[in-house]
Amino acid sequence: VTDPRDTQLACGTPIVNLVEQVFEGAQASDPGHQADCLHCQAALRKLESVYDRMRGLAAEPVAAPPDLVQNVMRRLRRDRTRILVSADPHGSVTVEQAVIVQIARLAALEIEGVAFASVQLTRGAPPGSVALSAQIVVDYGPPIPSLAATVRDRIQQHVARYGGIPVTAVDLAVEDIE
Amino acid sequence: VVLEAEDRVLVAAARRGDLDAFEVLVRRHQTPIYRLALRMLGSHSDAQDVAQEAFIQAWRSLARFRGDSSFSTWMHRIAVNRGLNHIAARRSDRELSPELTDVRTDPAEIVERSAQLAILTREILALSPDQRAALVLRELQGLSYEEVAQTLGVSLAAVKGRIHRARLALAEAMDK
Repeated sequence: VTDPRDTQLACGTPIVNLVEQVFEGAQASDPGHQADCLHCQAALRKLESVYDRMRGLAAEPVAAPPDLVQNVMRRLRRDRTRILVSADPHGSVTVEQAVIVQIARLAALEIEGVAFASVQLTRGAPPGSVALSAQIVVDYGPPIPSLAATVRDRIQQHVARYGGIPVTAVDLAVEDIE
Repeated sequence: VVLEAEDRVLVAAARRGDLDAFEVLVRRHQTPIYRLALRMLGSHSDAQDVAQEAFIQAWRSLARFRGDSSFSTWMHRIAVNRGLNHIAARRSDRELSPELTDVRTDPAEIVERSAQLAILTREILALSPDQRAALVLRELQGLSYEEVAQTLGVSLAAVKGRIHRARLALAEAMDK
């Protein structure tokens, strides 16, 4: 059972009407009564005070902590596995998968007409080599077949040159055009 | 260039395991998600923990994100649930060890410059977690009632009831 004081003022005005009026910009249900009623005016003052402060709080600038993105990405990258580039009795060189992916992505983005590039390693490459799959969004203009061929060649060259790992395959998908 | 890609393009890339694409999404959505956590919890350090955990959870759940809602709404849902869990955990910590301070009474944790906003912040933190979450999403994050219902996974009527009761409770408190 609801206490009537929770739903209406002493004058009989439903409180929900006043709340809707202040917070949702609804029309006053009984403007004539409201103009003369002290109960309604007191309630409206309280609600308006909350409304004004709420707008003030909503407008307060809040900046995320400067290290938030870094903390998240460090945690996510930590689990990544490493790729063995070379090994001999004197030691070995490994490269983080993320490094190879980054080299490939930057290689694709360097090419004019590539607006967005996303690269992942795919399974099945022999040890000491990598296979990649890449998705790109291209600008409207350059012919797609020659652009795609350039992207595949460039990824292959850059990963081999800067990452030190031969690329056995690049599966390229053009996903969108801008 | 990659910074200009739309959320849906970045989400599709992230779903295939592209962390760089996901980083752009984190950068883009960190401010509203952090603000949501801050308004729900009242403390910068708790808000940072909750926001970070929410993004990490989002990465791990990306395979289940079907794109029925926007990435923003989906992120709000994850963050609000983590926020509610955090409040529940904090409450049981306090019951076990009452000497832990309540953030509401710790002036160092009151974030707002003006005294008026500080009072409102304190009273929002005194609302029940369910009312607080609904109110913050609607009034401070600017979601529609429908979006709040979708985010909290409850009916539209329940959302309207919670927000109405929260507004009344605040009006009573402002009067003191």
